[in-house]
Amino acid sequence: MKQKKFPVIMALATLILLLLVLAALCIGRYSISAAEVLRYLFLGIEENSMIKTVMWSVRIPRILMALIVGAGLSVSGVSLQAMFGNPLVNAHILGVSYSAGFGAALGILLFSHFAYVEVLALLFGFAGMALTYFLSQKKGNTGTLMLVLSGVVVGAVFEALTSFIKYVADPEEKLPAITYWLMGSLSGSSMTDVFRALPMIGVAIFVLWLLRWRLNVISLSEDEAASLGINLKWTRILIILATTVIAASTVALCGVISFVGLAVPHLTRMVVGNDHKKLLPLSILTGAGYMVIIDTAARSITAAEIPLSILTALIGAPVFAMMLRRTGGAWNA
Amino acid sequence: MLKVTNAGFGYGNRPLLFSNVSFEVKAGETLAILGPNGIGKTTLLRCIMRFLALKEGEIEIDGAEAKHMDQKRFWRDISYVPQAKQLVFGYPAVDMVVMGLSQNISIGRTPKREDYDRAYALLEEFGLGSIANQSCNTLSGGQLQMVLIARALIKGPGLLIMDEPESNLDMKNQLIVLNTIERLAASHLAIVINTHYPEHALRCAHKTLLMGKEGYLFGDTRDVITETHIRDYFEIDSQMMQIEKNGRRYDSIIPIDVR
Repeated sequence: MKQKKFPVIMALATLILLLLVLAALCIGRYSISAAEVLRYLFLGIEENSMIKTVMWSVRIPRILMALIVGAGLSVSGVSLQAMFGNPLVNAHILGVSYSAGFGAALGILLFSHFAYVEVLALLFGFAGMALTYFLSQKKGNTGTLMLVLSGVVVGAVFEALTSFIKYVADPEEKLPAITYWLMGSLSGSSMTDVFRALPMIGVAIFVLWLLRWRLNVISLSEDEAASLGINLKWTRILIILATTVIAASTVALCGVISFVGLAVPHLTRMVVGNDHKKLLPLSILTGAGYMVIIDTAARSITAAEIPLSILTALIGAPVFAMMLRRTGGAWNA
Repeated sequence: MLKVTNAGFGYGNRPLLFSNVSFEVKAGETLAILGPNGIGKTTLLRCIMRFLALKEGEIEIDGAEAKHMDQKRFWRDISYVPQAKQLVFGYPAVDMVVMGLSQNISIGRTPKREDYDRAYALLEEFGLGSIANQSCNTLSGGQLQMVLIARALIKGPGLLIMDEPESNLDMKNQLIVLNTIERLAASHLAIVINTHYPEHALRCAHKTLLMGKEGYLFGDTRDVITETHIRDYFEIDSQMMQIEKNGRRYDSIIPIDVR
């Protein structure tokens, strides 16, 4: 474990994140220089009318969404890994992403207006979480093993239902839309989306941040955690609710984004170790930064948009594998 | 400090694992719980800590019924030392010790500087000052067990419950743990330990609870651990030996054969 001072690491990470955001504002099919971006943002000087349009209609909302969603997914990965005491857990473990994905697919199939898609994704996201939770309840106590198994069951059912919807969907119009949604994209993001995502995901991140010390305790064995005097049941319920809000609203607003909740927490562990009072705050920044990189690549590598889940894995997996080989995995060291 | 009256427990609808068990541990006393595998030693510990609810009987902590105590009040005075094993996430030893104060750390807060100072001091006292910032997963089994004991002690409990604290350790580390138990009992703590070694009970426990299929024995350790009782409860023939060294008596039990 590195012995560097944590505030220094946080300051550095913030600086890097700001630079990434600046780079993301410049990069794109209409490229803008950093000087132009800064002059526009801080002095309000428009060199030409394109800058304002490109910034406000595409780049700023997309980057803000990427920051919010990336931070949310990464923090929820960290929290679920702690709750289940297992570093292999990802943000989909409770089945929420699958049920929310089903809601979105159903919405696309039945309606043409995207507002319904969002509502249905949120609705089914919460329904999936509730189903997982109640399946896992046995005589009033929820073992984490039962939660995992219930999550797998609920996830499998909703995945199958989603496949069924794809099977019956009109292959000309609806099927591509559904497939695209299920791979995640920030391409349609507007400032309205940002203002909808921010309160939900922001509050959820804040709740998990409040629990950062408890995440250390809850990651121990059940008896141990209880003997240290924390309320296991309510801590778990808070974690489940907060991560569900993040997963469901992410799916509702930008589709299913995989791999972030697994890779980013680990990359972050390699820097600050496993102590959640450091890991959680830092993973907010790293998750946000990772997503900005991925989304910038998604909109600028080729003329057509590339779905996010393809890139999170294609860019993320090699980096992740390389880091794992170099450090031997930092979670138990 | 701890009084158990007519305790009985069984899983689900199965017959009771044990019933009518009564014993008492006072401050400054150590109780060893002994018995063959599967007899319910750990289950009894889990019942005392309310992880399992007794089917019969009751438990009193400091004269108050444990059943009705709220969670916070219950764990203020009781600490649990689990068996040392590899952790999933390796936290630094000092953080592990500070976790013993979690009860006083309200939501949204993290441990204060004084909390860390106390943890460092405690580790120093245990001779573990040099490994305080090391990850728990790089420690030896003996060091980790001592870290867990330090975690249990940091909040200043009145009752310490230890589940086989010395069972996976080498001889030196076993002695370190046993000496620590003796020292803690001398400082007025009540201690309950679960062990597989009657010799360890003879060394550090004032009272012993010997559990068996037909019933149990409870009393002063020297009255409970005898060749006859070992034959009846563990189904082995054995011979007990004593030596005197530096004015202290040491006991050994030599197993002869399975009955």
